[in-house]
Amino acid sequence: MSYGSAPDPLMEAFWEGARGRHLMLQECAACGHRHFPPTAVCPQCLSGEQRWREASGRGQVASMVTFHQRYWDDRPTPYAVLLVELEEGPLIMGNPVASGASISIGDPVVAVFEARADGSIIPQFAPEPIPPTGP
Amino acid sequence: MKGKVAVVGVGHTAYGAFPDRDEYSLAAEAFTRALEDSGLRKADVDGLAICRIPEYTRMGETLGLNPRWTMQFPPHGRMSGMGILEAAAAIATGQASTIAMLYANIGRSRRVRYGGDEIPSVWDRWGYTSPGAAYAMMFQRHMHLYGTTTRQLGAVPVAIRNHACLNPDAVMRKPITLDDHEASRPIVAPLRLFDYCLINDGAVCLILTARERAADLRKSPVVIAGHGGYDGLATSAILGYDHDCFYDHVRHAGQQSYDVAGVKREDVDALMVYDNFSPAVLFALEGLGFCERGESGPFVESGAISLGGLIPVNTDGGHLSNSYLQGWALNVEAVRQIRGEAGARQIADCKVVQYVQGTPCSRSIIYTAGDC
Repeated sequence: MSYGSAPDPLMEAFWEGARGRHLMLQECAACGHRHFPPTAVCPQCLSGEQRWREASGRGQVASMVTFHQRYWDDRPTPYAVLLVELEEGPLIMGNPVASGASISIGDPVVAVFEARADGSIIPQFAPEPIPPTGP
Repeated sequence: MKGKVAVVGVGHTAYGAFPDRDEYSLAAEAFTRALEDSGLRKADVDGLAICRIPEYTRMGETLGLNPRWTMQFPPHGRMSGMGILEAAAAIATGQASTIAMLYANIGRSRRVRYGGDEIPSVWDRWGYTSPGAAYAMMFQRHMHLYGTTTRQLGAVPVAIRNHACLNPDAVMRKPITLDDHEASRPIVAPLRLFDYCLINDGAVCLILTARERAADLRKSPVVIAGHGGYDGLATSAILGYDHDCFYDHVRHAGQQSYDVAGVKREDVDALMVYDNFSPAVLFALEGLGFCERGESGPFVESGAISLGGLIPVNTDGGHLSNSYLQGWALNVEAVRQIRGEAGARQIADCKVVQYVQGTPCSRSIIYTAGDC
Protein backbone atom coordinates (compact mmCIF):
# COMPACT_ATOMS: atom_id res chain seq x y z
CA MET A 1 0.00 0.00 0.00
CA SER A 2 1.12 3.53 -0.60
CA TYR A 3 0.31 6.62 1.38
CA GLY A 4 -3.05 8.23 0.87
CA SER A 5 -4.85 4.93 0.83
CA ALA A 6 -6.92 5.29 3.98
CA PRO A 7 -10.45 4.47 2.86
CA ASP A 8 -13.24 6.65 4.21
CA PRO A 9 -16.49 6.83 2.22
CA LEU A 10 -17.41 10.08 4.01
CA MET A 11 -14.35 11.74 2.42
CA GLU A 12 -15.44 11.07 -1.16
CA ALA A 13 -17.30 14.38 -1.44
CA PHE A 14 -14.21 16.20 -0.16
CA TRP A 15 -11.98 14.67 -2.83
CA GLU A 16 -14.61 15.16 -5.50
CA GLY A 17 -14.68 18.84 -4.56
CA ALA A 18 -10.89 18.99 -4.70
CA ARG A 19 -10.99 17.66 -8.27
CA GLY A 20 -12.95 20.80 -9.13
CA ARG A 21 -10.51 22.90 -7.07
CA HIS A 22 -12.99 23.55 -4.28
CA LEU A 23 -12.18 23.16 -0.60
CA MET A 24 -15.28 21.53 0.82
CA LEU A 25 -16.44 21.27 4.44
CA GLN A 26 -19.38 19.41 5.87
CA GLU A 27 -22.13 21.71 7.11
CA CYS A 28 -25.10 20.77 9.22
CA ALA A 29 -28.39 21.62 7.50
CA ALA A 30 -30.09 21.97 10.86
CA CYS A 31 -27.72 24.12 12.90
CA GLY A 32 -25.11 25.32 10.41
CA HIS A 33 -22.13 23.78 12.25
CA ARG A 34 -19.05 23.34 10.02
CA HIS A 35 -16.72 20.49 10.76
CA PHE A 36 -13.86 18.44 9.38
CA PRO A 37 -13.10 15.54 9.06
CA PRO A 38 -16.65 14.56 8.08
CA THR A 39 -18.88 12.71 10.52
CA ALA A 40 -22.04 10.62 10.16
CA VAL A 41 -24.13 13.11 12.10
CA CYS A 42 -23.58 16.69 13.19
CA PRO A 43 -21.31 16.57 16.28
CA GLN A 44 -23.06 19.67 17.63
CA CYS A 45 -26.79 18.92 17.27
CA LEU A 46 -26.75 15.25 16.09
CA SER A 47 -28.81 16.00 13.00
CA GLY A 48 -28.28 13.53 10.18
CA GLU A 49 -29.05 16.24 7.62
CA GLN A 50 -25.63 17.28 6.44
CA ARG A 51 -24.40 18.86 3.22
CA TRP A 52 -21.08 19.92 1.74
CA ARG A 53 -20.34 23.57 1.22
CA GLU A 54 -17.27 25.28 -0.12
CA ALA A 55 -15.02 26.96 2.41
CA SER A 56 -13.34 30.30 1.82
CA GLY A 57 -9.96 28.59 1.67
CA ARG A 58 -8.53 31.14 4.06
CA GLY A 59 -7.04 30.22 7.38
CA GLN A 60 -4.01 30.64 9.57
CA VAL A 61 -1.16 28.35 10.48
CA ALA A 62 -1.88 26.68 13.83
CA SER A 63 1.31 24.65 13.83
CA MET A 64 3.82 22.97 11.56
CA VAL A 65 6.26 20.06 11.56
CA THR A 66 8.85 18.54 9.27
CA PHE A 67 8.91 14.80 8.73
CA HIS A 68 12.40 13.31 8.60
CA GLN A 69 11.31 9.80 9.47
CA ARG A 70 10.11 7.99 6.36
CA TYR A 71 6.77 6.27 6.91
CA TRP A 72 5.95 5.41 3.28
CA ASP A 73 8.39 4.07 0.70
CA ASP A 74 6.99 6.34 -1.99
CA ARG A 75 7.03 9.48 0.15
CA PRO A 76 10.57 10.86 0.32
CA THR A 77 11.62 12.97 3.29
CA PRO A 78 12.04 15.62 4.48
CA TYR A 79 8.70 17.28 3.92
CA ALA A 80 6.71 19.82 5.91
CA VAL A 81 3.12 19.57 7.09
CA LEU A 82 1.05 22.55 8.15
CA LEU A 83 -1.84 22.39 10.56
CA VAL A 84 -4.23 25.10 9.38
CA GLU A 85 -7.14 26.59 11.30
CA LEU A 86 -9.68 27.52 8.66
CA GLU A 87 -11.62 30.73 9.17
CA GLU A 88 -14.77 28.58 9.39
CA GLY A 89 -13.25 26.90 12.45
CA PRO A 90 -12.12 23.39 11.53
CA LEU A 91 -8.49 22.28 11.53
CA ILE A 92 -7.04 20.72 8.38
CA MET A 93 -3.63 19.63 7.13
CA GLY A 94 -1.69 20.86 4.14
CA ASN A 95 1.80 20.79 2.73
CA PRO A 96 3.19 24.28 2.23
CA VAL A 97 3.65 25.32 -1.39
CA ALA A 98 5.71 28.25 -2.67
CA SER A 99 8.79 26.87 -0.99
CA GLY A 100 11.36 29.48 -0.15
CA ALA A 101 8.83 31.68 1.59
CA SER A 102 9.08 31.03 5.29
CA ILE A 103 5.84 30.25 7.09
CA SER A 104 5.26 30.66 10.81
CA ILE A 105 2.49 29.93 13.25
CA GLY A 106 -0.21 32.59 12.97
CA ASP A 107 0.55 33.42 9.32
CA PRO A 108 -2.45 33.76 7.01
CA VAL A 109 -2.59 31.10 4.32
CA VAL A 110 -4.90 30.31 1.45
CA ALA A 111 -5.84 27.01 -0.15
CA VAL A 112 -4.25 26.17 -3.49
CA PHE A 113 -4.67 22.96 -5.44
CA GLU A 114 -1.86 20.62 -6.35
CA ALA A 115 -2.22 18.19 -9.25
CA ARG A 116 -0.31 15.06 -8.39
CA ALA A 117 1.45 12.63 -10.69
CA ASP A 118 -1.21 10.00 -9.97
CA GLY A 119 -3.89 12.29 -11.40
CA SER A 120 -5.38 13.30 -8.07
CA ILE A 121 -5.82 16.89 -6.95
CA ILE A 122 -5.16 17.78 -3.32
CA PRO A 123 -5.73 21.00 -1.42
CA GLN A 124 -2.57 22.59 -0.08
CA PHE A 125 -1.78 25.94 1.48
CA ALA A 126 0.30 28.91 0.46
CA PRO A 127 1.11 32.15 2.29
CA GLU A 128 -1.62 34.65 1.64
CA PRO A 129 -0.41 37.95 0.23
CA ILE A 130 -0.67 40.61 2.90
CA PRO A 131 -3.49 42.93 1.81
CA PRO A 132 -2.54 46.58 1.39
CA THR A 133 -3.28 48.67 4.45
CA GLY A 134 -4.75 52.15 4.62
CA PRO A 135 -5.43 54.62 1.83
CA MET B 1 -13.90 3.79 45.34
CA LYS B 2 -11.51 5.97 47.36
CA GLY B 3 -9.07 3.82 49.26
CA LYS B 4 -11.06 0.62 48.70
CA VAL B 5 -8.66 -1.08 46.30
CA ALA B 6 -4.96 -1.85 46.63
CA VAL B 7 -2.21 -3.00 44.33
CA VAL B 8 -0.74 -6.02 46.08
CA GLY B 9 1.41 -7.64 43.41
CA VAL B 10 3.63 -6.35 40.63
CA GLY B 11 5.83 -8.24 38.22
CA HIS B 12 7.45 -7.86 34.85
CA THR B 13 9.72 -9.64 32.42
CA ALA B 14 13.10 -8.40 31.36
CA TYR B 15 12.84 -5.58 28.81
CA GLY B 16 14.49 -5.81 25.42
CA ALA B 17 14.15 -7.90 22.26
CA PHE B 18 12.62 -11.36 22.52
CA PRO B 19 11.90 -12.43 18.95
CA ASP B 20 11.23 -16.02 19.99
CA ARG B 21 8.57 -15.22 22.60
CA ASP B 22 4.89 -14.40 22.13
CA GLU B 23 2.56 -12.26 24.23
CA TYR B 24 1.19 -15.23 26.15
CA SER B 25 4.64 -16.40 27.15
CA LEU B 26 5.77 -12.96 28.27
CA ALA B 27 2.50 -12.23 30.10
CA ALA B 28 2.59 -15.59 31.88
CA GLU B 29 6.06 -14.81 33.18
CA ALA B 30 4.94 -11.41 34.46
CA PHE B 31 1.87 -13.02 36.07
CA THR B 32 3.98 -15.62 37.86
CA ARG B 33 6.28 -12.92 39.22
CA ALA B 34 3.39 -10.74 40.38
CA LEU B 35 1.74 -13.70 42.12
CA GLU B 36 5.01 -14.46 43.89
CA ASP B 37 5.36 -10.80 44.82
CA SER B 38 1.85 -10.73 46.30
CA GLY B 39 1.91 -14.03 48.16
CA LEU B 40 -1.42 -14.92 46.54
CA ARG B 41 -2.17 -18.28 44.95
CA LYS B 42 -3.40 -18.54 41.40
CA ALA B 43 -6.76 -19.79 42.71
CA ASP B 44 -7.24 -16.46 44.49
CA VAL B 45 -7.42 -14.63 41.15
CA ASP B 46 -11.02 -14.26 40.03
CA GLY B 47 -10.61 -11.41 37.58
CA LEU B 48 -8.53 -11.12 34.41
CA ALA B 49 -7.83 -8.02 32.34
CA ILE B 50 -5.55 -7.95 29.32
CA CYS B 51 -4.18 -5.25 27.04
CA ARG B 52 -2.12 -5.56 23.82
CA ILE B 53 -2.37 -9.32 24.19
CA PRO B 54 -4.28 -10.76 21.24
CA GLU B 55 -7.04 -12.75 22.91
CA TYR B 56 -8.44 -13.06 26.44
CA THR B 57 -9.65 -16.66 26.09
CA ARG B 58 -6.19 -17.85 25.02
CA MET B 59 -4.66 -15.89 27.89
CA GLY B 60 -7.01 -17.47 30.41
CA GLU B 61 -6.45 -20.88 28.85
CA THR B 62 -2.68 -20.39 29.10
CA LEU B 63 -2.91 -19.46 32.79
CA GLY B 64 -5.62 -22.00 33.63
CA LEU B 65 -8.04 -19.37 34.94
CA ASN B 66 -11.84 -19.39 35.18
CA PRO B 67 -12.48 -15.84 36.43
CA ARG B 68 -15.84 -14.29 37.22
CA TRP B 69 -14.77 -11.03 35.59
CA THR B 70 -12.81 -10.73 32.34
CA MET B 71 -11.99 -7.64 30.33
CA GLN B 72 -9.90 -6.85 27.27
CA PHE B 73 -8.78 -3.32 26.54
CA PRO B 74 -7.78 -1.97 23.10
CA PRO B 75 -4.01 -1.91 22.52
CA HIS B 76 -3.66 1.81 23.26
CA GLY B 77 -1.27 3.19 25.83
CA ARG B 78 -3.99 5.30 27.40
CA MET B 79 -5.72 2.06 28.40
CA SER B 80 -3.24 1.60 31.25
CA GLY B 81 -4.73 4.37 33.36
CA MET B 82 -8.23 3.68 32.11
CA GLY B 83 -7.91 -0.06 32.67
CA ILE B 84 -6.49 0.14 36.18
CA LEU B 85 -9.38 2.33 37.26
CA GLU B 86 -11.87 0.03 35.52
CA ALA B 87 -10.48 -2.97 37.39
CA ALA B 88 -10.51 -1.03 40.65
CA ALA B 89 -14.17 -0.18 40.05
CA ALA B 90 -14.95 -3.86 39.41
CA ILE B 91 -13.41 -4.74 42.77
CA ALA B 92 -15.05 -1.84 44.59
CA THR B 93 -18.46 -2.96 43.27
CA GLY B 94 -17.92 -6.58 44.16
CA GLN B 95 -17.70 -7.97 40.63
CA ALA B 96 -14.34 -9.55 41.43
CA SER B 97 -12.16 -9.73 44.48
CA THR B 98 -8.70 -10.10 42.97
CA ILE B 99 -7.87 -9.02 39.42
CA ALA B 100 -4.70 -9.77 37.47
CA MET B 101 -3.99 -7.13 34.82
CA LEU B 102 -1.67 -8.27 32.06
CA TYR B 103 0.00 -6.23 29.37
CA ALA B 104 2.50 -7.45 26.77
CA ASN B 105 4.21 -5.71 23.88
CA ILE B 106 6.44 -7.22 21.20
CA GLY B 107 6.83 -3.97 19.32
CA ARG B 108 10.56 -4.23 18.86
CA SER B 109 10.80 -7.73 17.48
CA ARG B 110 7.84 -7.06 15.20
CA ARG B 111 9.31 -3.76 14.08
CA VAL B 112 6.19 -1.77 14.97
CA ARG B 113 6.51 1.85 13.79
CA TYR B 114 3.27 3.46 15.00
CA GLY B 115 2.85 5.28 11.70
CA GLY B 116 2.21 4.99 7.99
CA ASP B 117 0.02 2.11 6.84
CA GLU B 118 -0.09 0.65 10.37
CA ILE B 119 -2.51 3.43 11.33
CA PRO B 120 -4.20 4.68 8.16
CA SER B 121 -5.99 7.98 8.59
CA VAL B 122 -7.66 10.77 6.68
CA TRP B 123 -4.40 12.76 6.92
CA ASP B 124 -2.23 10.26 5.02
CA ARG B 125 -2.41 12.13 1.72
CA TRP B 126 -0.57 15.03 3.31
CA GLY B 127 1.98 12.65 4.78
CA TYR B 128 0.82 13.32 8.34
CA THR B 129 1.00 10.22 10.51
CA SER B 130 2.15 8.83 13.88
CA PRO B 131 1.45 9.94 17.46
CA GLY B 132 4.87 11.59 17.62
CA ALA B 133 3.83 14.04 14.92
CA ALA B 134 0.97 15.23 17.13
CA TYR B 135 3.42 15.98 19.95
CA ALA B 136 5.72 17.72 17.46
CA MET B 137 2.77 19.91 16.40
CA MET B 138 1.92 20.68 20.01
CA PHE B 139 5.51 21.41 21.01
CA GLN B 140 5.90 23.73 18.00
CA ARG B 141 2.93 25.72 19.33
CA HIS B 142 4.43 25.68 22.83
CA MET B 143 7.66 27.13 21.47
CA HIS B 144 5.74 29.79 19.55
CA LEU B 145 3.43 30.76 22.42
CA TYR B 146 5.86 30.62 25.34
CA GLY B 147 9.35 30.76 23.89
CA THR B 148 10.21 27.23 25.02
CA THR B 149 13.36 25.86 23.35
CA THR B 150 14.36 22.40 22.20
CA ARG B 151 17.30 22.62 24.60
CA GLN B 152 14.92 23.15 27.50
CA LEU B 153 12.90 20.19 26.24
CA GLY B 154 16.12 18.17 26.27
CA ALA B 155 16.20 18.46 30.05
CA VAL B 156 13.31 15.96 30.12
CA PRO B 157 15.01 13.01 28.38
CA VAL B 158 18.32 13.82 30.12
CA ALA B 159 16.75 13.72 33.61
CA ILE B 160 14.77 10.60 32.83
CA ARG B 161 17.85 8.88 31.38
CA ASN B 162 19.74 9.68 34.57
CA HIS B 163 16.97 7.91 36.47
CA ALA B 164 17.20 4.91 34.15
CA CYS B 165 20.91 4.69 34.96
CA LEU B 166 19.85 3.86 38.55
CA ASN B 167 17.46 1.15 37.39
CA PRO B 168 19.11 -2.23 36.64
CA ASP B 169 16.05 -3.27 34.57
CA ALA B 170 16.14 -0.28 32.22
CA VAL B 171 16.89 -0.77 28.53
CA MET B 172 18.91 2.45 28.16
CA ARG B 173 21.51 2.99 30.86
CA LYS B 174 24.12 5.22 29.28
CA PRO B 175 23.87 8.85 30.38
CA ILE B 176 23.06 11.47 27.76
CA THR B 177 23.68 15.21 27.78
CA LEU B 178 21.75 18.20 26.50
CA ASP B 179 24.23 18.36 23.63
CA ASP B 180 23.52 14.71 22.80
CA HIS B 181 19.83 15.58 22.68
CA GLU B 182 20.40 18.55 20.41
CA ALA B 183 22.60 16.43 18.13
CA SER B 184 20.25 13.45 17.90
CA ARG B 185 18.60 12.97 14.54
CA PRO B 186 15.29 14.68 13.84
CA ILE B 187 12.30 12.33 13.56
CA VAL B 188 9.36 14.70 13.14
CA ALA B 189 10.93 18.10 13.80
CA PRO B 190 10.99 19.88 16.17
CA LEU B 191 11.21 16.48 17.96
CA ARG B 192 14.37 14.39 17.85
CA LEU B 193 15.26 10.79 18.52
CA PHE B 194 15.76 11.33 22.26
CA ASP B 195 12.30 12.90 22.52
CA TYR B 196 10.79 9.61 21.40
CA CYS B 197 10.01 6.66 23.63
CA LEU B 198 11.72 3.33 23.17
CA ILE B 199 10.09 0.47 21.34
CA ASN B 200 10.93 -2.74 23.16
CA ASP B 201 9.46 -6.11 24.07
CA GLY B 202 8.24 -7.07 27.53
CA ALA B 203 5.25 -7.70 29.76
CA VAL B 204 3.86 -6.34 33.02
CA CYS B 205 1.39 -7.66 35.56
CA LEU B 206 -0.38 -5.81 38.35
CA ILE B 207 -2.59 -7.62 40.85
CA LEU B 208 -5.34 -5.61 42.53
CA THR B 209 -7.54 -6.65 45.41
CA ALA B 210 -9.84 -5.12 48.00
CA ARG B 211 -7.95 -3.22 50.65
CA GLU B 212 -9.30 -5.30 53.52
CA ARG B 213 -8.02 -8.47 51.84
CA ALA B 214 -4.66 -6.83 51.25
CA ALA B 215 -3.71 -6.47 54.90
CA ASP B 216 -2.37 -10.01 55.44
CA LEU B 217 -0.56 -10.39 52.11
CA ARG B 218 3.20 -10.51 51.58
CA LYS B 219 3.86 -6.83 50.85
CA SER B 220 2.36 -3.75 52.41
CA PRO B 221 -0.53 -2.65 50.21
CA VAL B 222 -0.43 0.40 47.98
CA VAL B 223 -3.85 1.96 47.82
CA ILE B 224 -5.60 3.65 44.92
CA ALA B 225 -6.57 6.73 46.88
CA GLY B 226 -7.70 9.02 44.11
CA HIS B 227 -8.72 9.00 40.49
CA GLY B 228 -9.69 11.49 37.83
CA GLY B 229 -10.37 11.55 34.12
CA TYR B 230 -11.03 13.79 31.15
CA ASP B 231 -11.66 12.44 27.67
CA GLY B 232 -11.35 14.97 24.87
CA LEU B 233 -12.94 12.76 22.26
CA ALA B 234 -14.78 15.55 20.45
CA THR B 235 -11.48 17.10 19.38
CA SER B 236 -9.48 13.92 18.84
CA ALA B 237 -9.48 13.86 15.02
CA ILE B 238 -5.83 14.72 14.57
CA LEU B 239 -4.18 11.56 15.89
CA GLY B 240 -3.77 12.66 19.47
CA TYR B 241 -3.20 16.36 18.84
CA ASP B 242 -4.76 18.80 21.28
CA HIS B 243 -4.83 22.50 20.48
CA ASP B 244 -4.10 23.41 24.10
CA CYS B 245 -1.45 20.77 24.78
CA PHE B 246 -3.85 18.77 26.99
CA TYR B 247 -3.81 21.57 29.54
CA ASP B 248 -7.48 21.29 30.48
CA HIS B 249 -7.44 17.49 30.22
CA VAL B 250 -4.65 17.15 32.74
CA ARG B 251 -5.91 19.95 34.95
CA HIS B 252 -9.35 18.39 35.32
CA ALA B 253 -8.12 14.81 35.72
CA GLY B 254 -5.46 15.87 38.20
CA GLN B 255 -7.73 18.04 40.33
CA GLN B 256 -10.39 15.34 40.50
CA SER B 257 -7.80 12.87 41.74
CA TYR B 258 -6.45 15.26 44.39
CA ASP B 259 -9.98 15.99 45.57
CA VAL B 260 -10.93 12.32 45.79
CA ALA B 261 -7.72 11.41 47.61
CA GLY B 262 -7.83 14.43 49.88
CA VAL B 263 -4.25 15.31 49.04
CA LYS B 264 -2.68 18.44 47.64
CA ARG B 265 -0.27 18.70 44.77
CA GLU B 266 2.43 19.59 47.30
CA ASP B 267 1.93 16.19 48.96
CA VAL B 268 2.99 14.28 45.85
CA ASP B 269 6.44 12.74 46.38
CA ALA B 270 6.91 11.46 42.82
CA LEU B 271 5.13 11.90 39.53
CA MET B 272 4.85 9.18 36.89
CA VAL B 273 4.03 10.81 33.55
CA TYR B 274 3.07 8.90 30.43
CA ASP B 275 6.15 10.02 28.49
CA ASN B 276 5.54 8.66 25.02
CA PHE B 277 7.25 11.84 23.83
CA SER B 278 9.19 14.26 25.98
CA PRO B 279 6.78 17.22 25.54
CA ALA B 280 4.16 15.13 27.37
CA VAL B 281 6.12 15.78 30.57
CA LEU B 282 6.03 19.55 30.02
CA PHE B 283 2.29 19.48 29.37
CA ALA B 284 1.59 17.36 32.46
CA LEU B 285 3.62 19.63 34.74
CA GLU B 286 1.66 22.67 33.55
CA GLY B 287 -1.75 21.00 33.65
CA LEU B 288 -1.16 19.77 37.18
CA GLY B 289 0.14 23.16 38.26
CA PHE B 290 3.65 22.14 39.29
CA CYS B 291 4.62 25.22 37.29
CA GLU B 292 2.67 28.01 35.64
CA ARG B 293 1.25 27.51 32.18
CA GLY B 294 4.00 28.12 29.65
CA GLU B 295 6.75 27.90 32.28
CA SER B 296 7.59 24.20 31.97
CA GLY B 297 10.69 24.85 29.87
CA PRO B 298 12.56 26.85 32.54
CA PHE B 299 11.05 24.55 35.20
CA VAL B 300 12.60 21.35 33.80
CA GLU B 301 15.79 23.23 32.94
CA SER B 302 16.17 24.04 36.65
CA GLY B 303 16.46 20.36 37.55
CA ALA B 304 13.03 20.20 39.17
CA ILE B 305 12.09 16.79 37.73
CA SER B 306 15.28 14.97 38.75
CA LEU B 307 15.61 12.79 41.83
CA GLY B 308 16.26 15.22 44.66
CA GLY B 309 14.42 17.95 42.75
CA LEU B 310 11.09 19.61 43.44
CA ILE B 311 9.05 16.82 41.87
CA PRO B 312 10.95 13.75 40.63
CA VAL B 313 9.42 12.44 37.40
CA ASN B 314 9.59 8.87 36.06
CA THR B 315 12.11 7.59 38.54
CA ASP B 316 12.40 4.24 36.71
CA GLY B 317 13.45 5.87 33.45
CA GLY B 318 9.96 6.04 31.99
CA HIS B 319 9.12 5.23 28.41
CA LEU B 320 12.01 7.32 27.18
CA SER B 321 14.70 5.14 28.77
CA ASN B 322 13.36 2.28 30.92
CA SER B 323 10.76 0.47 28.87
CA TYR B 324 7.89 1.32 26.56
CA LEU B 325 5.21 -0.70 28.28
CA GLN B 326 2.61 1.99 27.69
CA GLY B 327 1.99 3.26 31.19
CA TRP B 328 1.80 -0.12 32.90
CA ALA B 329 5.44 -0.14 34.05
CA LEU B 330 5.07 3.42 35.37
CA ASN B 331 2.27 2.21 37.63
CA VAL B 332 4.56 -0.59 38.83
CA GLU B 333 7.20 2.04 39.65
CA ALA B 334 4.62 4.02 41.64
CA VAL B 335 3.99 0.91 43.74
CA ARG B 336 7.68 0.18 44.24
CA GLN B 337 8.46 3.73 45.32
CA ILE B 338 5.76 3.62 47.98
CA ARG B 339 6.89 0.19 49.16
CA GLY B 340 10.46 1.43 49.40
CA GLU B 341 11.70 -1.13 46.87
CA ALA B 342 13.20 1.23 44.32
CA GLY B 343 16.84 0.63 45.24
CA ALA B 344 19.32 3.29 44.16
CA ARG B 345 16.50 5.49 42.84
CA GLN B 346 14.37 5.27 46.01
CA ILE B 347 12.79 8.50 47.21
CA ALA B 348 13.10 8.82 50.99
CA ASP B 349 9.84 8.49 52.92
CA CYS B 350 7.78 8.20 49.75
CA LYS B 351 4.09 8.19 50.68
CA VAL B 352 2.16 9.67 47.73
CA VAL B 353 2.82 8.94 44.06
CA GLN B 354 0.77 10.25 41.16
CA TYR B 355 0.40 8.61 37.75
CA VAL B 356 -0.86 10.89 34.98
CA GLN B 357 -1.46 10.47 31.28
CA GLY B 358 -2.18 13.56 29.23
CA THR B 359 -3.64 11.98 26.12
CA PRO B 360 -7.00 12.19 24.32
CA CYS B 361 -8.15 10.10 27.29
CA SER B 362 -6.41 11.61 30.30
CA ARG B 363 -6.27 9.92 33.65
CA SER B 364 -4.73 10.64 37.02
CA ILE B 365 -4.28 8.06 39.76
CA ILE B 366 -3.09 8.83 43.29
CA TYR B 367 -1.33 5.97 45.03
CA THR B 368 -0.70 6.09 48.76
CA ALA B 369 0.78 3.79 51.36
CA GLY B 370 -2.01 1.55 52.63
CA ASP B 371 -0.64 1.34 56.14
CA CYS B 372 -0.69 5.05 56.87
